[in-house]
Amino acid sequence: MNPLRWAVEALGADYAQWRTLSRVLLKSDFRSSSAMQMSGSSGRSRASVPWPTLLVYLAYGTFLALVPAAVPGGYLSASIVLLVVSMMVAMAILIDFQSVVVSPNDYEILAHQPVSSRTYFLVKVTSILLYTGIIGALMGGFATIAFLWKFGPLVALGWLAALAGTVVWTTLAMVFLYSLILRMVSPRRLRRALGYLQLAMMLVIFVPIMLDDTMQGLLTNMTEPPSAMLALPSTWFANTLPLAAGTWSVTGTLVALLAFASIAVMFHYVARRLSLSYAERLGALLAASRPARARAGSDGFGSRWFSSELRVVSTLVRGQFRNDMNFRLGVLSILPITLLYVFMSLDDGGLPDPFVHLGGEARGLGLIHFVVLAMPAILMEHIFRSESYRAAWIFFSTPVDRARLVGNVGNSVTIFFLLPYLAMLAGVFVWAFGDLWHAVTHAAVLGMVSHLAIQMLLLAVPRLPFAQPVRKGARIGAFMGTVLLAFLAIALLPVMLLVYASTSWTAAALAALAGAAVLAPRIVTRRIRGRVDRLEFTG
Amino acid sequence: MIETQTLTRRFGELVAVEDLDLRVEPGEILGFLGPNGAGKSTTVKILTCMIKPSSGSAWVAGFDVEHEPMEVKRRLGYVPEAGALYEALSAREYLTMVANLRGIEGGYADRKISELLDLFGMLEALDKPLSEHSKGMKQKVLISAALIGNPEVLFLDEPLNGIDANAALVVKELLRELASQGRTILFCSHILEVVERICTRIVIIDRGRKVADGTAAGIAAETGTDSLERAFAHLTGVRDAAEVTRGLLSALGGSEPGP
Repeated sequence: MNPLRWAVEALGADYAQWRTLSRVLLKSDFRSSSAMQMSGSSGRSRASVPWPTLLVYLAYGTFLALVPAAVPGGYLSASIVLLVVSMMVAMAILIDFQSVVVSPNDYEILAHQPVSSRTYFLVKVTSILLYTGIIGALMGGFATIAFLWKFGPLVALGWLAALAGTVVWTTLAMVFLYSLILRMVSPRRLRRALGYLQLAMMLVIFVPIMLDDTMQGLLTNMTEPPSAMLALPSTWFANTLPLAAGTWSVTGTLVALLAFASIAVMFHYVARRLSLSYAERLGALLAASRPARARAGSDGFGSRWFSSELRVVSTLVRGQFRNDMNFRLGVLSILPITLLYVFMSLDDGGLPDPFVHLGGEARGLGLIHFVVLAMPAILMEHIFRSESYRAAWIFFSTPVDRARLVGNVGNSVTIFFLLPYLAMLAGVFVWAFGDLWHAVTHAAVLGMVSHLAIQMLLLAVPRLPFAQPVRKGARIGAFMGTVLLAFLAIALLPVMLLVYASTSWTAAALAALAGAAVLAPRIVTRRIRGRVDRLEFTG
Repeated sequence: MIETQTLTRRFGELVAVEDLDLRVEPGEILGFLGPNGAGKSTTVKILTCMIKPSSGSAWVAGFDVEHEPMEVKRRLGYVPEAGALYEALSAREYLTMVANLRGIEGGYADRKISELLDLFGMLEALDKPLSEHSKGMKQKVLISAALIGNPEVLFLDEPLNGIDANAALVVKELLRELASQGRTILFCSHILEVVERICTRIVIIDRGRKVADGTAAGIAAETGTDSLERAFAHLTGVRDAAEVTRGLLSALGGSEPGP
């Protein structure tokens, strides 16, 4: 008997249906479709691979391959790489794949077909495991070569087992959490509950980074993972490396065995227990999402101050946040990171005043700079993609200036996300620097640089709001790509901040940035007009 | 056969379906009518096991929708109102998926798919992604998907939405033929002429409650009107059409078109 068939049937699912649906969902995910295309372009491809996302993962994988090469012990280096991989897998699920478990969209298509809850659930789990498996392979693949080169083939095999174990464990743990909340919380409260879960999970994922000064000391002072890391599942799986190298201990071997056993227990519980009521809960969720409650009051806020295009974008963003669970969860997954980074910067010896600690001495501000530069761009990725992308027909059938509409996506992010965040940041700076002028000036400089970065992004890839279909992996790919670019910017920013050396330079820089910040949206709108006008609706 | 007893579905404080008693015999085509938001689609979703009733019972083909959903699903075909489809798939792939889920595989499935799509004149578009199909073509695929398992009971929620006159003619004739073979059909539509022409019996619901049950002529006679259209307006409490029109024109801001 086919072992796969045996495994699927042992879990109570229908093998033929599982195979059919798994194939269909994969085909659906890998084929691109869009609500718009350039006029005159040769139509859409039947299948498309998300190369940018894959390349970003490969870039991280290349970087991670340096860890085993640089860190003395195999166990320690594997613990570090596996920790990063597990964090990325968890983040990918939080940002991109949580909808695979909790969204009733597929269920609406399949609910009346004779597919059991278990089969349907197993299809979903298979789909997520496949994606996280690809992420794990891309991020840990090069490290395999490094382990092979440095420690030999047995350790490399041990590494592969640890990598697979970590990826599967992390995925199942996330699926377990989402399924549990789907089962325990009433559908009417689910949206709010998922929001809290998203915030809490983001905090949990970043806790390892916050552990003491652990991460900083790893590369230089240690040969074994510090005690704080022993609690992490990724470190449990890293115990397979000493086992493979023949330098095993009873405790380490037991921990490794228990780690793999915990996968079996978790899978059994998820597939046998949680899957039973899964379809029923999705049905309830589908029903609960039906009647939309009218909200009192007008949405015509700021009509005196804002252009009609900005009001359109802002109304869309607020409406999507209120009613589109996936958009809401995506945005909510970003916010805790920003607050965490501020906290981590404060925890890491305080914030240096860049007017006093010029250039490289202001390194302590790096995480804050990262948040200000990267997060608006990540937020924009959420604004461009939506399940209801077909509603973009409205931009094509009304006399709206589409170029101005695209430009105002950036303005809405600046006004409604960046400015409140900078106001909060200015308060933190006042407290940390003890100088109001320094604090406000630095917050203003960061805000204007970030605003310019947003405009550059729009210039590079002009897109209409909520007009592209959600593609699995696209958001986390954009997230990680932005993180890479933001790191480059962070490296350059201290050099730019040398303008703080004299008042006249600072004033000149502020004036230049302010001028650029005002002119940029107009220039961008003009430059993208041709490209945006050539877009055609094909949804 | 379809049967419901005091079927009720609440969404929070809103009662979408209330104490609905319904019985559709094999060979019958029941026209299930009601204004927007009357509870038609909610009833159909309960009967197709997509959502659960808050109280009451329902049976399809002799099986309880709440306790034997898989048996029910094996015996029904459903054309949903909002035609949700995997749009990245082609018509052939989508229908193959539906056939496989119903245990129809291999050459037999291929033959059935080709036959169904040929009837709708869609063979040329068989391998085009559904995202490139028109609304009417997608509807034809959904109708084919509902028929592919040769179901005992058919639920059709606005099945003629967007399809061309020739295909609509085929569908209407097909429904009559299927009913004559003993299948049970529940047909939801807002197009009263079509309902009047093909349905053997009509049920009208309003705000979740059944307000009429009988033939088109019988309902008209009961309400003292001369047509199903007027009976429907009478039973569902529609405001005077002329008055509504005047209000709409006034809201438009005058009789002249804008710039």
